[in-house]
Amino acid sequence: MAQEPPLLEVTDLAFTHLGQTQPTIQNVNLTLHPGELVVLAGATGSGKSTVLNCLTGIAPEHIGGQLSGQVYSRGQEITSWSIRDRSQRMGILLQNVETQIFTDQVGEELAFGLENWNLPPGEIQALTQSALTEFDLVEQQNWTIRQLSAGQKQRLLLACLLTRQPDMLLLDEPFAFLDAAGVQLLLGLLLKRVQQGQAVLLIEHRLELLKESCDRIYKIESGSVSPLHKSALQIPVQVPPEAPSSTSEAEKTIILQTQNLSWGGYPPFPDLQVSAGEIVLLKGENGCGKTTLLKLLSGLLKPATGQLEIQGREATRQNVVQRSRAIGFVLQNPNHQLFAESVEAELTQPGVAPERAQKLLKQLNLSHCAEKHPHALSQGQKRRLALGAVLAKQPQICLLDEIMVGQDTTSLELMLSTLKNFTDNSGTLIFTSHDPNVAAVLTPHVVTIGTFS
Amino acid sequence: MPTPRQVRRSPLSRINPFLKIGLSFGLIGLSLFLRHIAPMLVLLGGVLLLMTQLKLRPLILGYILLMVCIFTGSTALLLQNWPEAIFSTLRLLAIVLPTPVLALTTPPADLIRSLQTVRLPSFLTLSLMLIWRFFPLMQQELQRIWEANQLRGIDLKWRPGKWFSGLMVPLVFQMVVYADEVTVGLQTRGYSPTEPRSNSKPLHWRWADTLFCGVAIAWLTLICYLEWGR
Amino acid sequence: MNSPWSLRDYVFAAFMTIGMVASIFLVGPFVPLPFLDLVMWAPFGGIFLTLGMARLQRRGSVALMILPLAVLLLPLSPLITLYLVLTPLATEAVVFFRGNYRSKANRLLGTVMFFVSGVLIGLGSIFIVPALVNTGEFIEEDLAKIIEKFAVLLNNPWLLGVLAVAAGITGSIGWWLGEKVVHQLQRAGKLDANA
Repeated sequence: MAQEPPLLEVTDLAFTHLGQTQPTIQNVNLTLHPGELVVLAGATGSGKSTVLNCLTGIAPEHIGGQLSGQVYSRGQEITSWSIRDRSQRMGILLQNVETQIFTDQVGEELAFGLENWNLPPGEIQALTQSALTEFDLVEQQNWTIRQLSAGQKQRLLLACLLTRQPDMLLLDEPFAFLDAAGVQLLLGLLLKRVQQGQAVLLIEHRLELLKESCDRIYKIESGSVSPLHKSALQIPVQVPPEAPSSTSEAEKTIILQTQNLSWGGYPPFPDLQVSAGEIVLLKGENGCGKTTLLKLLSGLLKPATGQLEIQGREATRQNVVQRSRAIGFVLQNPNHQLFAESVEAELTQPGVAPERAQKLLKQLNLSHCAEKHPHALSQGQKRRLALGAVLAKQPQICLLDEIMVGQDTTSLELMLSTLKNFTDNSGTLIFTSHDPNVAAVLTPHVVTIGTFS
Repeated sequence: MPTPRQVRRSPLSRINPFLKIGLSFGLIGLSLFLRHIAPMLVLLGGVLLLMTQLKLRPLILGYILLMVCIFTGSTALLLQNWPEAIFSTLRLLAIVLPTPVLALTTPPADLIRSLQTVRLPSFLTLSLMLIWRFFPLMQQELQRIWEANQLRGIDLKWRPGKWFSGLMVPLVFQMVVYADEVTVGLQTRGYSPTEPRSNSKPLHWRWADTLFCGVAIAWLTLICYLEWGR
Repeated sequence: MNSPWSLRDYVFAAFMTIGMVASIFLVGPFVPLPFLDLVMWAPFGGIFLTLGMARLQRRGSVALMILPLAVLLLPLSPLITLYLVLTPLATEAVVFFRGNYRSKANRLLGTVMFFVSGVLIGLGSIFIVPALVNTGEFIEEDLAKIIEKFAVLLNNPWLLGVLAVAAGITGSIGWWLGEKVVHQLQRAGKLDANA
């Protein structure tokens, strides 16, 4: 058989963002062949999103800047194609699935994409039905979108993108909010497609998830892409964990205690007894109620039954504002928690000493952008800033909800060392995370949620 | 977690939306001319019957009832005439109720599709779709920002001075980011405001529509007969 | 059809519409009197209106944000729809002669026009509706009762002027806040407004 042109070929791609003198990515060369699962890995801010944006046409159509180099699909140059035109050949799954869903019902959503291509009604019905069957969504056909879990939404969207049999799938960190079971399910679906001859290009920094299944890995570092041999893969190991701090008096001061807490349709939560300086990891499958428990502790939700004590005082009836003196809560999405007009102002809230703010900025490596607008930061920097803003108020207890997602090694290390610092000063940490590396460093006391005991 | 369940759709939701819009305009027009209590009761009775197809929350129903009572009471006070006050309440209900009742039994996707068939400019149908889909999401964002303020010890309920910096600005930022992502999202799904779109569920005349038409005509005739025919 | 608007513009306009509707819910419950709510809403609605004008810039921006809302509310009340069609048209008609919404001054004019014409058209309709009723065979008494609610206004036409001025002032506050947000968005690199 004659050598078939690759499904995707990129030659000498470079992109310079508007107002920048240095290119964000340069000399990017990569190929994607039928039946391949390829990973593009890199730290936050390394330019991997920019590469994806250039491949999909999002840059320069929506992101101002100068693009050079060529993108080919099956030997045809598509560099000047619009996102819509490219979407015929590549299924594009963005990070936030909510922004790609436009109707309020599962069946309707599948039809929506096909209607956009002006297909005849009969064909739409047939394609919709076969997609529902293939993606195991027949039962959910008449569900509203709101009834779906995040994983189901992602599966629905994949079904939508694949109805027209594109050559390849490009996915931007699809595993970010999935638990182990969800990851396996999605990976299975992708591998099936790969076996059928389609190609998959994934952006992901947690390589340990994909080491076994992927064919090739490209590594992106400060804007340039290079192939990475699979054997060269090493899972980053951070600061060696210290032995759990010796049992001292601190251990005896119980700072937070719960009894029979329950809420909504969840099984009753296990009783917690947390002392000052302790680190607790809440573990469990997606949707088991980890976030709900954090909300109950912070006062954002009122428990249906049970009691809560903070610093030895009955706190069940306290509201969020009252509890906020003792408890800080860093939410999953940092954008909800940033209010100030500059990074520095975000930390120097009333009652926070300027020196403390400066120290935290330094610890979190944000000093260089102190004057910037918080929303001008990268996602990783925003997460660190949101953490800093909570720690600045020196709470006794700090709650974290999946804030380590999408953090590269350096950023994660900064976060973890800041948190270590916090707990060493007898701060209490209660957090959720899917990342085993985090647990390896923080050596928390693990509490499993969601099992009927 | 909410337990997923099948969405139950009433038989009314399958009726051609244009028929429903026509009927509601007919009912409103008619209610303006009625002067007798019997036809008014027949009209309103039918509307209430249609209302049973809606799953209204008791709270909303209670609110509607309260409003009706306040209106009747204040009209009675003004008119010094209870029968007339009750009649104007009935008329008010007959004017206000039909359109929302029939609109709420139409799934939004069907409504948007039918608007598409009457060649409404594509940006209008697109905007309607986006407003319908993303309004609840933005409400959720607003709720989360509100909570994030509380977590910082700021209760916005008592501090309207903080509404701008604490609520509006973060909300706007979220909306601007969302708007850009949604544009990309639409394009990845193949949407273009200038390209022709097909309709996977074209409006076909069905026997249910004939039935609906028959019943509606009979109903309207009965009202007219009671008003003018005797 | 050749449209000067891109998909991005449509989506942005729709999100601003969402913002306006959301802020109605925020203000709505606190205001007991009709038309005073327009005055109270203006500082919030004005933010999104200004933002939309700053980003979309072209003539017709206000209509692009408000007309979908008019269609959306058609199933609830045809009268509101008519009202929502007239108000942006009045605004656009005035700003038409200024060219676009690229300058702050034009955006201020647009915002003030929108809210002032909102009050005038809304209140004006109170005079028109009874006039229509009297010519027709309608039941005058009943509608008279509904109009009773606005009797205070009917007897004191100067109140109309006061309300219009108030809406203009609160609308300007909305514009001022809106420009502050525009400035912040530009600092964060999220808005490429102001040529």
